[in-house]
Amino acid sequence: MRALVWKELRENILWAVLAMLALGAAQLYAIHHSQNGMDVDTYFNDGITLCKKQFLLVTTFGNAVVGLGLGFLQVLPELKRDRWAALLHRPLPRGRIYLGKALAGVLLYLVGAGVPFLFVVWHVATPGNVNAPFIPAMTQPGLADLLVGFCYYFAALTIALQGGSLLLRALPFFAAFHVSVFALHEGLFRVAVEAGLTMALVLGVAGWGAIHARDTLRGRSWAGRIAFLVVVFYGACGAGDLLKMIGVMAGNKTESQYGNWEVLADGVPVRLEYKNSIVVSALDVDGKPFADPKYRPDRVRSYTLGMNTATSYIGDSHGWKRQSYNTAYRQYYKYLYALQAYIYPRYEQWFYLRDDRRFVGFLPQKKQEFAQLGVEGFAPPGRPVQGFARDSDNSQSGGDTLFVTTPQSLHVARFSRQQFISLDLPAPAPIYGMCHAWANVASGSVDFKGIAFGTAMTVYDANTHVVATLPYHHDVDRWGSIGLGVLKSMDRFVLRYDPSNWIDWNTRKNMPSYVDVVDATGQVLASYTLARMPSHGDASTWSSYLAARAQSPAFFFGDLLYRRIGAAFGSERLRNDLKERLGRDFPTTKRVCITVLLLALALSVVTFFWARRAQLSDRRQWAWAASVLVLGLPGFVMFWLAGERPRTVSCPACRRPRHIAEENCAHCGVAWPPPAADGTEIIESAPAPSPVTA
Amino acid sequence: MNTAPVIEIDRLTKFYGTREIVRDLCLNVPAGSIYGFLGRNGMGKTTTIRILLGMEEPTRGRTRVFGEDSSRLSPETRARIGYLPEGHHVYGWMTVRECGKFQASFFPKWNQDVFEAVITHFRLTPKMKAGHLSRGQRAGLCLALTLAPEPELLVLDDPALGLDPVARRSLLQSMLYVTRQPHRTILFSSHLLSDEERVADRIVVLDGGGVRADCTVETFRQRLRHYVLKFRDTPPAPPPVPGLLESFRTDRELLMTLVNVTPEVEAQLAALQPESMEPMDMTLEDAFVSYVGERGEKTFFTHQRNGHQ
Repeated sequence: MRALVWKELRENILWAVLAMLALGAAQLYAIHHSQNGMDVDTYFNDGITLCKKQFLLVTTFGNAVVGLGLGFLQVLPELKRDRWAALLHRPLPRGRIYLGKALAGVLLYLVGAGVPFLFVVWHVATPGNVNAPFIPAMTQPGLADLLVGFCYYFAALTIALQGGSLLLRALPFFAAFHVSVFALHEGLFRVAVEAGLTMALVLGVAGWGAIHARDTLRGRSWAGRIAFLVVVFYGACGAGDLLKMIGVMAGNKTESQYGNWEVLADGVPVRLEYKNSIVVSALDVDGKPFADPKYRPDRVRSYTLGMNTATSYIGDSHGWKRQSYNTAYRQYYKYLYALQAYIYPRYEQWFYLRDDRRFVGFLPQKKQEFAQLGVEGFAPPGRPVQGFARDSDNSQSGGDTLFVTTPQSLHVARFSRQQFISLDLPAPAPIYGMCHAWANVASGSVDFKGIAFGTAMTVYDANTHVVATLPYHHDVDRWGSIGLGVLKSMDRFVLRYDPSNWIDWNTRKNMPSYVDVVDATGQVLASYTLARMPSHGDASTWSSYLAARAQSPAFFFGDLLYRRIGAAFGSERLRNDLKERLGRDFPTTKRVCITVLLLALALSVVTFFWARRAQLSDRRQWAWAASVLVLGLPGFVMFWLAGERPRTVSCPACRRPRHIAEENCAHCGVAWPPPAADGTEIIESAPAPSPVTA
Repeated sequence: MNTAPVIEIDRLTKFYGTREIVRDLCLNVPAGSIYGFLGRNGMGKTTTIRILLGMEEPTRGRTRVFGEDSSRLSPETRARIGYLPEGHHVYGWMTVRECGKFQASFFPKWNQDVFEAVITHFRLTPKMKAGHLSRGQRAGLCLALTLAPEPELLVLDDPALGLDPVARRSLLQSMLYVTRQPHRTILFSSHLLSDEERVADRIVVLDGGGVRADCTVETFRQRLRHYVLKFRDTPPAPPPVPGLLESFRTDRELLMTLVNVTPEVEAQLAALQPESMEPMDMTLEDAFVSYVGERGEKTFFTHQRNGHQ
């Protein structure tokens, strides 16, 4: 087998090197490319270094292309009948021939896709090349793409080795595509990697089965058959993913109508009714349309006030815990985020490293770290720094000022002066939260910070002066989700009280909200009660709508089961997901469930009769019908494309269709007639065989 | 020791889609014999060989090589079979020496002397790039790669395909020289009988998916006869005698090619009352072409004559 590996490497190394150069160049370009035409690292809208959108675009598509290309190049040129026969006719099991190809292919893929990635990681990790700190965990998205690329490599092998219709042969590609889509949307790196490696393994086994019997499943081992059917199933899902993406890009939204409360720039609440995400009416708290022409639906959004919520609850949490939203591993802000850069007195850029819970400062022009900030203040780079507490929060204000809170403390950092100051709390601890607020004035916007205490919200300006302390005027134990807005005059504030998050959804959805307009002394100038309106997300597209209903019952129920088991084993994330589906989203969940089951049932019936018409054995008829019932539409595609149906020809005796592989006709029982003799045959009895060693 | 045939084909049938390529093919190839596998293009020779070597699955029937089912040939049995597929594929980037080294790594009984002898016979040097060889040289290299593992069974699928007549003759003679060994069984396919007549002990002719002839070359030659029947007037239509392969009518002659001629058939021909009836010698090539060619009457005047009759 070593000779085979050597031969494969020798034949394809040039392609791998070309791929390495092309991919390396594309990745480097993507790392340094800026859409704005300015210093790429100054603006982080598209992510940072190894999590940058353009870079991940290259790793996602580039690795897939390299994997596919190498897989095809290894097999397709050799697939001509004589060349393939010459390769296969060796005293080696075919599985070992496949293994030799696959081993060489994996090495070639690592050269073509792995080496450029390693080079870019080295480039990013070396100081002076990019204006951002290097965090090893930021290699995760690229690494996941690299591993998913193996799926494409093995998909190419399977496509090349598999016989049958073009549609059937395309399915391994779609199975790999499905994993790509999954890896893009999955939040956890570990799960994405597991999915990628598992699918690569399944595709690898499917390819191994295909080298044994190209056109039929019968000649393959059970593992090869099952792997191929799994590939077909996920291929159908991947094809569905593609159709869904096309539908999303086409942007046809389903009909949706919902309402929401906003606060206008003068502090008056307005009820906005949306249809397909477009405001169709603006109503006051009494449900009457605004008479003022500036509150016409097409203009009203320009007059709404920006408000941020500072807290989830005030006082007792009633056992509620803040949901720990695991930021997806592909998002740079899972690892760090950039503060707004400032240029006075010099150009500096600070980053918050999430895992270390410390800040690092960079000089963008030198692309070098110059300072860091931890719980004990500023420190030069390289020195060990103790990170901030786990329950700390931070928010930038007015250029180089940063507010840092913990439940018991409030600090302010002045980056340009490298000062880290502790502020006296203007109200009794604990601090329940902090939010950013701003007033839109003629010259731009003026920043404020709202710090929520147990009895009042203190408003700071960007110079850390207390502008106002606003006592609460509602039952904050139950309406403890408090948002702050600042009116244009900057001496009037808006406090919005929504039901606390510890209250369960079904109760919360019927509770009203309150909006108070208060002055700097905390006196209420106006108060409004807002009737609660259930909020909805954006309207889904038709393709998403259909995709949810066309999914396999195995996926639908399997997903619920997975979440239930995960929740039972203590996963907060899975528990919250399950709660959402069976709580707030239960009507949708129920509708989807019914559609999924009905569709699967209908397809199962069709499959049964189709299988019967195709003269499958009774056992197979039932097995396929049951499979489609469990697997739904992808299962039906599986039966349609991969289900082996016996080929039939007209029976010479009874003229009814009979299986070409069966000795006797299933209808008349007659065997195939021998070839007709016409008297021109020359058959001479052979001499007796001579002894031969077996 | 056993006396089982090296190759056993039992009622082999192969369909591609709903098209029947091979039908109920039965054949036993005894050890030590050289079998010529003949037939026109598309008659199922290569398909049969591929099924025999486990490259394809039969639709019905079974094939065995050295007593093992073809679809499950063990590596040990495969090592006993030398297979030279049509097309003479070599890895063009390898030298002749590298080709040998590569092939040797798979075969435990690799005989370097045989390899070198064969490449020398075909005037190849170890440093020659395989991609630069002529078709004839490439065929020679492939033969060396096939023979060096010292196979007990040699399966040659149209080894002279694509060569010009001179190269074809030269290659076949060389092959005869280098392949023939006692106890080596050879199955050798071609669509030309002239390729086989000097090599094969026995020929099998595939036609219409089945075996039409399984005999020695000599028997084949003897069984086919060509008659020229001369008439004073326009010759009559040929009678539907058994074994009639083809006929040709001119203004005064009726030419007939027959197989398995019996005295009854000759009597039927005589009943046409020709002025003379002469059996004529046929070359083996002509005999084969008549045998596997289109059946029936061939004449320039078919329409007119049919109109008169």
